[in-house]
Amino acid sequence: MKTISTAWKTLPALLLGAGIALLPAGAALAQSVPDTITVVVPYTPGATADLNLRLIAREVTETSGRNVIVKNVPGAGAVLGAVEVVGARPDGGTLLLSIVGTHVTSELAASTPPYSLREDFVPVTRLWSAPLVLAVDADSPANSVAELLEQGRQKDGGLSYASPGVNSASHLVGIALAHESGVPMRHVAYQGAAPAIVDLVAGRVDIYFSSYTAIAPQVAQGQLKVLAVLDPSRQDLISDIPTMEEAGFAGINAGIEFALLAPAGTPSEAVEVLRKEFSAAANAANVQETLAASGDAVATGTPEELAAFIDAKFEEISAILASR
Amino acid sequence: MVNAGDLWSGLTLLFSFEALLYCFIGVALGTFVGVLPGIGAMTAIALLLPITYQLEPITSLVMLAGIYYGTQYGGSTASILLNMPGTPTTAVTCLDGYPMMKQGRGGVALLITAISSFIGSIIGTVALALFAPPLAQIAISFGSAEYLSLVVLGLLAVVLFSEGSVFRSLAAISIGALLGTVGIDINTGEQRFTFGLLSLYDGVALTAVALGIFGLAEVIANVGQVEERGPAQRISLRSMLPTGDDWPRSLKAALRGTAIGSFFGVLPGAGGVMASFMSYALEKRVSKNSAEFGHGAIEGIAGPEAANNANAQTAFIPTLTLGLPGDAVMALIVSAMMIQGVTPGPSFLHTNPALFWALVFSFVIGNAMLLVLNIPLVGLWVRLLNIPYRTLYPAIVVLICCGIYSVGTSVADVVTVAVMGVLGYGMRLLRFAAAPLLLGFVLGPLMEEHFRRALLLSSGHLSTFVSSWISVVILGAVVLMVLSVVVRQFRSRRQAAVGPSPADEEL
Repeated sequence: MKTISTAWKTLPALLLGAGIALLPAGAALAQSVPDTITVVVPYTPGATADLNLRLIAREVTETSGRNVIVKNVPGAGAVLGAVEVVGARPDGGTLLLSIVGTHVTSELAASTPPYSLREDFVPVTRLWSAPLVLAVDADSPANSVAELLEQGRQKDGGLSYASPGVNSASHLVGIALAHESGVPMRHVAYQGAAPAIVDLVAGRVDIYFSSYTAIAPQVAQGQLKVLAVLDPSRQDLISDIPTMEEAGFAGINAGIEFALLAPAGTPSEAVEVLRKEFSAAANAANVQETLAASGDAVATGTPEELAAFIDAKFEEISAILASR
Repeated sequence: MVNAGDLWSGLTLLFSFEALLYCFIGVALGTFVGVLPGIGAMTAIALLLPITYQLEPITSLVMLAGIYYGTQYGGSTASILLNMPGTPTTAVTCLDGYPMMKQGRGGVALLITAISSFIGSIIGTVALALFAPPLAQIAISFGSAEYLSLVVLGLLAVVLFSEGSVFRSLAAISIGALLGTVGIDINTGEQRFTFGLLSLYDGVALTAVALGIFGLAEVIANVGQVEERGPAQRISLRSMLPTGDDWPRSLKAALRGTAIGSFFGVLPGAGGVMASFMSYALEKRVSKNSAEFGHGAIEGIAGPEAANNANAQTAFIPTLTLGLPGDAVMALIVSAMMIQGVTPGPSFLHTNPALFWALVFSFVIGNAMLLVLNIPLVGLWVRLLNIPYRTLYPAIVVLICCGIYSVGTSVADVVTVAVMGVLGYGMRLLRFAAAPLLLGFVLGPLMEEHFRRALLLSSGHLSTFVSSWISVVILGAVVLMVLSVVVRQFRSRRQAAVGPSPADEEL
């Protein structure tokens, strides 16, 4: 009888001990994302993508305490960065900042795609997007899209349009517009935005579909003018610029959409934690303000929405590439 | 117009202990990094970029810019002493600098390059300060048609005025141009000669080619050679001083080089390699002692050195006023500026006059610091040569490997250096000059890009190449150049056929 009573006395202690022992395990389950995560940015440091992401990363660190490192892996048209994340451990510690359109196009246009966006990655969340605008030289006689296209019809050889690289959003939207309007448009590729802008200012190339931030200084100086915004609705920053829909081309929308992707195999709890933290950071007041000041719009969502968006992009870009 | 108030605010912005300290750090680091073959401004700036996030805009800019033009001082040191370029732009300095070293005039060469670099930098800075907006206009008026004409001029100049057979030069340039096609084609997105390797997607690295062809080839060539060395050289200050007509010759060459370098710096993408090559070609052409070139002509180092330094300074013109970086290193500097919240571009001079002038003054001060730094160091570098080659060369190979790996963290680049080293050695055995290959590598892709783009923009009309006066002038210079060489060949052949004239016999 004495042993039984000792056992009864020790039982609560045992249970308490077991409970305490299990506590860290409970905490470990919540620790599905490492304390330090790396976001791979497949562009050079200082590019707008890089700057905006750093802002969001700082916000995440401040609110959640998680250490976020931004790693720039430029090269091969954003492919090198993507490939690096594909090879990373799927423990929630590595993320890819992706311009969805670019990565989809790189995959579709390559004869042997170096990665598969839908199979090698798990969507986390969209972050922000910037619509493109149609910019022309300030000395150009056209003052609206209609006038510009009319000019193109009269000119021998049609219109020329610049892009910062083959298969960029600027390139693809040009193909789409040529198809819709029937005006022949010649694509002229440059190495990056800056040389394209110089040729536009000099009047050597007719059109450049650019993000507004890239040409804001030139517009302010009166060297360039913007004829239309490639988005269904007018933008607050440039509210006097009509949309392509108003100009009669409802389908011609293009923008640069940024999203976060994780390597395939990342557990869904980790994805959920990351989504919450990054969405919250992106929607923080100061982040929204800074992005809005350069014409970017924060647009976060669920992984399912991102997956649907990626599928839609695949369809859209396949159609454009097929119409070439 | 230059506003006195802006000048003053620029000065006060610069003259803080922190800014001056970082200026010194930048230029000292730049010189050091420039001396080491393989590690260049790219590596140094990429490594220090995260540190700049914590600094004030002026401090970080001053330091990064210091590294950028500082490497142009140090790069010639390795070229002269070891026949290996510290940076690709100083490859030309090997041609006459190394022979000078072999003649015991290494100290003189180092001193002259330091002074020429200073002259080039200061005049380039003055151009930046006073003529930035109009010079930026020149950059805008250079379209693809004009660039093409310029590239043709550059290529022909080097072919016609380089050492040895014209055909050998042409062959080397062609091989270089072929190497330059590796990578993604700009207009179609097709992969060319990449064999499916992602590491070749962006092409072969310029630094890798320069290091391999010049540096590693030199090491390979010296393997197995019995070391002939006299007693350890005592370098006195006296032996470092240039003698006789060294001063006037190099001064004039430096001024001509500055003009060329300043011009090419304003054109983004033209590059320091082209500037130094053009300066060398010009010096050879106008010199009375053109036979000396390749064997230690002092103009052959003074001109190109002044050119690449002037180039480095005026390269800030398109960068700051147009937001157009001329090369990858400048692009990194632009990134650093943007992270600091400073956007280079047309409004930069209006919104940030203090920063602009602080930067300009920092160039003056930085270059003065560099001159004071480099001249005493000449003795130190020459003493490096007393290290036995069997220790020195392996150390250099290690440095080259570390350096090239640090640029792109890609093993493929190191393999490239090895392959280029073997190729460079082979070329030496067959008496091909290596310098034209480097030029072809840089200019070939430029030529293709601009030719195709000019035709795309003009809907296929070849007349675009003669439709602007700039293009016409440059092409006219090309025609004159070719004619002058042809006429000279014709005359010398006639001379040989006819025999010496009575006038010659009298002499």
